[in-house]
Amino acid sequence: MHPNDEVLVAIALGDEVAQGDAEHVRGCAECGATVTELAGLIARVPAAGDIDLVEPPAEVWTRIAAEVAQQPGEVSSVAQPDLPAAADGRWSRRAWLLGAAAAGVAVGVAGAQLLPRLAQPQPTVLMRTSLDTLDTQQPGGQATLIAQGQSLQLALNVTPLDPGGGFLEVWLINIDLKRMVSIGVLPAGVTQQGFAVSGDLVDAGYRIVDISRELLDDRPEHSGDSLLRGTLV
Amino acid sequence: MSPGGGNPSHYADPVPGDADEPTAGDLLLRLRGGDHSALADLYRAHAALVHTIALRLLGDHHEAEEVTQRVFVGAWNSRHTADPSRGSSAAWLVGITRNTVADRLGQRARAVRDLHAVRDSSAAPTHAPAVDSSVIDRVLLARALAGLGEPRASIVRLAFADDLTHEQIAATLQLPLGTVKSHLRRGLLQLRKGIKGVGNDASQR
Repeated sequence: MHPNDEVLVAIALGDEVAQGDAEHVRGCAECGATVTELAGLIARVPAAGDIDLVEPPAEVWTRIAAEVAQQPGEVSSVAQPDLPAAADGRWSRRAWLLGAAAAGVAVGVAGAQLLPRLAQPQPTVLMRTSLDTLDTQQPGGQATLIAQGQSLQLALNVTPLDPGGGFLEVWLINIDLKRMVSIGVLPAGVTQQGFAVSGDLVDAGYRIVDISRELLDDRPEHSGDSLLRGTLV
Repeated sequence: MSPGGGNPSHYADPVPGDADEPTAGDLLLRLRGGDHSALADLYRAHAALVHTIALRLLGDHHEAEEVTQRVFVGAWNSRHTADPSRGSSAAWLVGITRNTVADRLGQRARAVRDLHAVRDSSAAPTHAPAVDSSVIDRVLLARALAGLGEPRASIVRLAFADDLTHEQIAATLQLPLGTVKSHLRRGLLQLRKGIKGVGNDASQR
C-alpha cells in the first residue's frame, strides 16, 4: 500500500514521517521516483522565482480580435476579455514598480505605488533582498518586506553579528544614496527581528537595508561601519 | 496596464482542482464550436503565459507581441484540433507557442544564412535553433507559483529560493510552524499539478 502524496511530499521536504512509511518509500521504486520528482521541483523554484509573468499590451488583443472578426464564426460579436492587470498581486516585489513604469508613472516620486498593496489579509512578501557584506559580498542573511493587514514590517534573518563595543543599528538608505533613516536597533545575538516601517518611506526610495555597527557615542548619524547591506526589490 | 493589479479570479482559489481544470475542457469545446467569446476567455487566462514565454525565448518585445497575436489567431484557426482529452488549454497553447517561436527562430537563422550564402554556396542547410524547453518550464513554474496565492507563494519562495528554515519562515511571517509546513506541502503538490502535462516538464512521466 503506497503512502499518500502528503507523506511523499513530507519526505521530499525532509520532514519526519511514520517509520513504516519511510521504510516503504525506501524500498519502492514508484514512491522513490515521486520523491525524486518533488525534490527536483524544489530545486527549480529559485530559477522560476525571479520570473514575472508579463501581460502583453492591450493592443495585442485588439489586433487578434480584428483579425478573427474577419473570419466566420458562429457567434458574431467578439467578446472583450476582461483584461487582467499587469501584476497579479502575488509576491509583488518589483511588480508595482514595473507596473508603474509601464504605465508611465514616474517611479521614485513619493506616491501611492506601494500603499494600495498594503492591505493584505495574509502575510505577503512584497520585496526582499539578500544581505551581504560590503567588502567581500559574503552572504549574511535576508531582509523581507512583509505586508499584513495595515502593517508593513521589515523582517531580518541574519547570521549572528558582532556589535563590537557598541550596538547594531538598522537603516533604510534611499536609493539616491543621499538620505537615510534609522529604523531601529538589532539586539546583540538576535538573528531574527521585525521592524515596523511605513509604505511612504519605501515608496520614496528608501529601499537599501543596511546594518551598521555603532559606538555608544554622542553621534546619532551612521558610523560608516556597515556590516551588511542589500537593496529591496 | 494598471500598476494596481489584482488577483485574476482564476488564480484566486487555491483549493485542489483549481488552475483551469474545471472549465478547460468546456472552453476548448466552445472554441471548437466557433464561439468567439471562448477565444477571449482563453486570452484572458493565458495571454501572459504565451507572451512571457515568447519574450523570454526571443528577447524582443515587438516579436513577442507578434508571436502572441499569431498564437491566438492560430489557436482560432486550428480550433478543430483543440481536444480536451489530450490535455489542458494551457498545454495546447504552449505547444502552439513553441511552434510559432521555432518558426521565428528559423526565420532569423535563414536571414543570417542568406547573408552568408551570397558568397558561400556550400552553406549548411538551414536548421532552426532548438527552442529552449527549460525556459518554457521556468515560466510555467513561475505561473504555478503565482497561482498559489498568499501566504503560500511567499512561504514557498522563502523556503526554496531563500533557503530559510521552516522555523525562520514561521517567525518571519508570524505564522504557526505547523501552518508553514502545511502550506509548503500543499504548495509543492499544487506546483507539481500546475506544471504537469504542460510544456516539456522534466518531471513529467
